Amino acid sequence: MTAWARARRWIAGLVLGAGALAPAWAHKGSDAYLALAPEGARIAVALKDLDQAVALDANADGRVTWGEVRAAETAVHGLLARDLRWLDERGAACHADWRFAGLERRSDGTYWVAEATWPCAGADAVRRLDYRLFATTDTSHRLLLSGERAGQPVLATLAPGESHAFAAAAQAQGRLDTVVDHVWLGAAHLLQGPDHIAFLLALVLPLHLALRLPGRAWNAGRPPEWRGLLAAVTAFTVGHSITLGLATLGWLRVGGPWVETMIVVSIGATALLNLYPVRRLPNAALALVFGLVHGLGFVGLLREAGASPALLPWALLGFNLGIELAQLALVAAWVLIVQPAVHRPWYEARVVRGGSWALLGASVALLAWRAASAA
Amino acid sequence: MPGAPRRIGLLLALGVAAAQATVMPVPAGPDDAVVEVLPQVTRLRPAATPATPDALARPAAPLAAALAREAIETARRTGDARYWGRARAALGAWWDDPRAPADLLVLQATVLQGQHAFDAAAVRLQQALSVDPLNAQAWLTLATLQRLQARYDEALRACAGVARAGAGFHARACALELRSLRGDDTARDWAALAAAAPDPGSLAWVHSLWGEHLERQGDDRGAAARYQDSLRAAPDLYTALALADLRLRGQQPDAALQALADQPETDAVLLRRAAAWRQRGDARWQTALVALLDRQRGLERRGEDLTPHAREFGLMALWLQDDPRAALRWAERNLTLQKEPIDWWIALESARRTRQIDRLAAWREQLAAAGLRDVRLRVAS
Repeated sequence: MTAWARARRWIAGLVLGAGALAPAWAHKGSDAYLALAPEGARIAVALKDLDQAVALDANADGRVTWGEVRAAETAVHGLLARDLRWLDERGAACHADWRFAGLERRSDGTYWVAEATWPCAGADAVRRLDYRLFATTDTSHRLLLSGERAGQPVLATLAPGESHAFAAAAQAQGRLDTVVDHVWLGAAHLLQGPDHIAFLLALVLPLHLALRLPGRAWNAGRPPEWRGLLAAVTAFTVGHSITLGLATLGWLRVGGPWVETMIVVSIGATALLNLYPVRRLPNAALALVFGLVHGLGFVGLLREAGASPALLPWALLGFNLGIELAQLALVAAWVLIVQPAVHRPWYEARVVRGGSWALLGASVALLAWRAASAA
Repeated sequence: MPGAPRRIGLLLALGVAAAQATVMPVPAGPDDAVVEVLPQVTRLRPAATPATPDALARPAAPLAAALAREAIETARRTGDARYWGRARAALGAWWDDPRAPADLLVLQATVLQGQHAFDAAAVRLQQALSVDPLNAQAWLTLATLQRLQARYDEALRACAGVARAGAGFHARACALELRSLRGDDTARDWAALAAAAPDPGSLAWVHSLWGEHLERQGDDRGAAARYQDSLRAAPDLYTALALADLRLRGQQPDAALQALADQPETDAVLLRRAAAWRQRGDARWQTALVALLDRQRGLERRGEDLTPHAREFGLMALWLQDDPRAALRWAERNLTLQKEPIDWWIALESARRTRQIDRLAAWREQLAAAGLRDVRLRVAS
């Protein structure tokens, strides 16, 4: 064969050898989706993938019809039984009885959906899944495993030939663990967020918080405002719990840079109202309204923590508790810090007004900086 | 109330399912109702037999090559990445084997190129060329890899390899494109090359390269005409995207949508459609953005390296998310992989919009060192 003939053959084989370089992030590779639930397993596999292993397109015309789908049911479910191997604690394989559950459209085509009750002696008994679907025909295929087994969240991605080991016997600590983990997460988030701390400070700054310490005379001039403190902190809590809850549960869809901007505005506005109080606008109402905004600021982190849907209410509970605990700790620390100064004649002028001016200045500067960097 | 948490859990699950509007049940239909059109007809089903050692034995090389070629062609035509995985599996018995026949090494390189593993692809091509120094396709693919990393001198040497291997037309096209990228005067060479094209596919290729040349020269009208000639000669996804990008740059969203009308809804296509809808004030762009972000999460969920997708993510950040900071981060990752004009544009544009003067200067210096001449990049800086 001459060199030219060989080159021609090659180039004919690969159309546009040099020119065509389709962008990546074309469709992702082939995925199958296996969802686990208390009742059993549900799998979705693309028809174009199944057709590699089973003659779905029986008449080879490049089109799959409902008739061909119905005719292939036994073969497809046999394939699923063969290439998804469920093993119990003794390593014995258990048979899963797949039933056809319809077809569904996803972004990259039509999928076959099949369901099965838990094989082995139920979810607790299943200890391992060996996955081998398309092992010899598609190296980029993946199984996306999600849901829950025996009260435990499951999240994994398997390549053909890989296995997933399920945790040992179900433990009742799933929920408690979730709450505890999220308490820490919530507390850490509040303590690491200077914006939330600054707002809290602006809120408590005007309150007269003198402790009745032994050996010190009761200051008759102005009663301590514990009730006001309780009202403000509670209102803030109620506010951010509402939006955090709604957004986490997916009933409220907001986000973006304006949330952060509004949080900065909330600091400045509260500080300004400390300096020039409006009689009809109680502190608690302000705390409630701005609490709604701060709640949105907490959402991103909770979402990133990625609790499974079944555990989400517990995660939310823990996260809120964590924020509250951190808030109480901060307020307690503030009360202790101001004790030496709270009775001084200059307290109002220097601490309350001076602090409010400082917070107002800081928030205006921050807003200006944000505006400049966004432009 | 022990049932309450479960009920809440169910509500949440329903909420999550509702949010994933990308999954829709297909209503049952009569036996002759078509539920899926396959991008290629399966003629061999190795997966039908259990994965025994027999099945893992090497199939005959010509058969593996034919299966791989078919899958590569489907991957290019549809933009469906699963076919790269299939091509790779077809070549599985020879994968990572430097003693594989040269033809199969070149096919491996083509798959790696498709999966944007450019360095690994270049290694395979060098292996193929050490066995078969007159392999035109190996030289041509090597030139492509070097070109898209802006190594123009090396790429020109590879084009000379194509010529030595006897593929004169392809060697001319290869060199002409590189000379155009470096800003040489090639205005009079393109028509002659088009006249020499041996078949419609080659003609479409020349017109596509010619269009890119004109676009770099600032002749958008001429470029659009060449792209359209190319698509008329033989439609392909790559050229349709190039035409759509040109229309988007010219604020002609309707023409951009028209350029993509017959294309499969790959992520790259959906991104351009979303950008066009946004230019037109069509609210669908927001739904498309949600879908694109969904697909981005899907890639992460698969555990994929996102660097090969950095170009499109950078464009998405600039066009749809108004987030030049994110675009800048993607641009940095993207330039470690590829340096075609659009890659430089994303980098310069995001540096300009974030006012990163130092970064802008550094990239402009790199661009000058690479020797690429493109008027669009002058506008961006």
